[in-house]
Amino acid sequence: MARVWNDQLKKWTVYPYELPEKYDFQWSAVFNTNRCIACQTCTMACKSTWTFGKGQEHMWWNNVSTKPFGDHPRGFDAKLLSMLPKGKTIFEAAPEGERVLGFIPDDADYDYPNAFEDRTAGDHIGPAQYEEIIPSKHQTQDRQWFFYLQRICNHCKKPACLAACPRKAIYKRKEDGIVLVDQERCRGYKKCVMACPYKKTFYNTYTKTTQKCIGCYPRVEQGETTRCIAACVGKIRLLGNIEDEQSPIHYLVHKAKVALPLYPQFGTEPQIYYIPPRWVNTKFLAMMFGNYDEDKIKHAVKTYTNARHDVELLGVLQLFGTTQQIIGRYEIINRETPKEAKVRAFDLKGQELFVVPIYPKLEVHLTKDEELNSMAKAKLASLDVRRDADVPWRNQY
Amino acid sequence: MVKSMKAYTVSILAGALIAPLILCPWTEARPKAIQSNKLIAMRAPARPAPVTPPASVPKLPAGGAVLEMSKASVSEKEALNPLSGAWASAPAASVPLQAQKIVTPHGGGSVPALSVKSLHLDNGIAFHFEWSDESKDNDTVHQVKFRDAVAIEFPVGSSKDTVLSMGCPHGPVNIWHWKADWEPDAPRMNDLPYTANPDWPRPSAKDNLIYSRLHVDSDLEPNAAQGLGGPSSKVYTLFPQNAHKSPVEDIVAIGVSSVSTKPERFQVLKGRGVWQDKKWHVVIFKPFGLDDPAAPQFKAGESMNVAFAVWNGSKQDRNGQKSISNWATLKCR
Repeated sequence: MARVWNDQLKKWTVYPYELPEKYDFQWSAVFNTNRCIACQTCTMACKSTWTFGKGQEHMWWNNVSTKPFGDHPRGFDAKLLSMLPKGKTIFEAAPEGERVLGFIPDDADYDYPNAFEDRTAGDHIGPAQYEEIIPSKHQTQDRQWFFYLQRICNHCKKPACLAACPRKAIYKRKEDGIVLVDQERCRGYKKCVMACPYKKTFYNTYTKTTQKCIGCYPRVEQGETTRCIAACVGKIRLLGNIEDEQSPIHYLVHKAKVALPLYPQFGTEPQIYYIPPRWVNTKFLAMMFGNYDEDKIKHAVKTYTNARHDVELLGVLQLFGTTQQIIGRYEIINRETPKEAKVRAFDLKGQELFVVPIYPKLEVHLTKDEELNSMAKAKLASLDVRRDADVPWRNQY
Repeated sequence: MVKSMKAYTVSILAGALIAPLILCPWTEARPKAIQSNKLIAMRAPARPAPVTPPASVPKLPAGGAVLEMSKASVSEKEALNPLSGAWASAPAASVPLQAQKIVTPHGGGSVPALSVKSLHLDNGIAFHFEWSDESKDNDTVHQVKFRDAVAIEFPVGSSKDTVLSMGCPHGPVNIWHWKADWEPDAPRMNDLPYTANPDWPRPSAKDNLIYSRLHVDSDLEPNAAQGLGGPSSKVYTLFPQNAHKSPVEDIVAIGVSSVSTKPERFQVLKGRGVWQDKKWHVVIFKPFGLDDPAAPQFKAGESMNVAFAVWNGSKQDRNGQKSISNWATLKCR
């Protein structure tokens, strides 16, 4: 076991292999849970591209589940949370003779992921952590919540699948950080299925090997985003290189700190970052995205809620879903005059991709119904879009 | 001249070390943007020493079991029936087994002993294995199911020069691995074509091989998979289950995690396993007449080292999680 620095947990931890402290390029993405409508277009884009083969029926490299109780495989996170001692990573908590703490989901967990998914509260799923944080039946009368969680392989910096593979069939690519399974070395021992805390390695029942999200590497090599990101109709996803300080991903995660990793306490340094939903129990979100630190969630939610006052943040949010190219860097134009503020995006080679306005001009079309018009005007006037009067749409009146 | 150059270099070095301390007021002058995690990481406490596991020598089961190969005029067909009378009269050696704790993941230990017999036939060598197993595990179609299996390990070349745990780079080992889920009666997925639609896109030879291999598995011919890699570096497990001609795989290894399938032309091992009365009865047969550089040489009158491993699927045994033996002696007749 080597000592490695976990940047998300801010502590030294253990890993079976020595790792580079920094990658030149780390495939990473930000998902904005606030905008997702769970249409599953991403899921079908992935399925129809990569996992339509025999033996892959149960594989969903991309899935969107309804939290708190839904997911694929069913209860993957709740089960591991109930096994994992607080304050330990899955590597530190590995049982005697194993490299990683984990479990293999049952067939039913893969086949019936929607069981209980629509419930907002209850005690059927079992794990102590879930029961603790979800308000009891009496409290939920007025405070029910759910949200959509979009999940793909996290292409972790400390991949548990890679750590667990006894054959070294799994590797993390130097050029982009994508984690892949060598189909010619894999012998289907399912150690990676057991180890991956996100359960994003899948055993193919026909080839008897493990297969997983390949980060759409043939597209990434061409400078294009993945299929799930390109197909997203809600424009909730953005792909980039988190190691590059000019990247929008780096800005959202490390500077604005609005995007947080999923279950960082597992210790694998996952590279999908989520803008947490604004309406959900902070305690629950802290368990899921903040390593039990509620301040991180409060900061992220507050920053995102006030994004309209932050030219740079709002500008970066405009980049989501605007292009199929991977955005390497961006710049804010006319930062001081919001009316003309724009964001310009560049691809990985530095070629300009597009320029979009940050505060789009708001057109108000009045109707023949005077009563409705006055209501609309009153509503718009009450919207405090920007305090400093220079709001484009107001000039329309 | 040399002296002055040295002094000059030293003064430059000293300057370079001191200048930043004077010129750069560290904390205040740094723009907020670069107060990133990277710098926090750099300021983290120094890397602690690597974790060293407590030094313990893993215990191996007692070695020294002696297996005598006897000559018999039995047909290959009869020998391949593990319940035939030909095996009843052959001398058996009981080999003690123990959990594997040499490399992680540890595991096994649920099978305490293995009974082994060996026959020298006219056209080959046959081994017979028998061990107690409460359940027949030959299903690898389901997620939390694992197969029963047995393996015999031979050193390639000089028997003194290799190590028990999967050999070493200068002392490869040859492993014959029988797998319950490679038997013809093992549960398998429906082998009908995945789609009845003739317009479904099929990969052509021109397509990127990676794509077609990874994503249209049902179209793979076993022979197509064999042409993909060089000898002993690849594992041809990607072809469908029904492509296996025999339940026994011929493997070479040069150390832990190096197990590799031999190329197709060397895959001549035959086998048959029967689970009866809560016991597995398995035969592995190797025909003579193949010029295989990575095979054991059986010479009449000589002894050689052999080792065994048994996997119990119901205990989630797989890979190194197995019950292993120490070296045993095989006396060839």
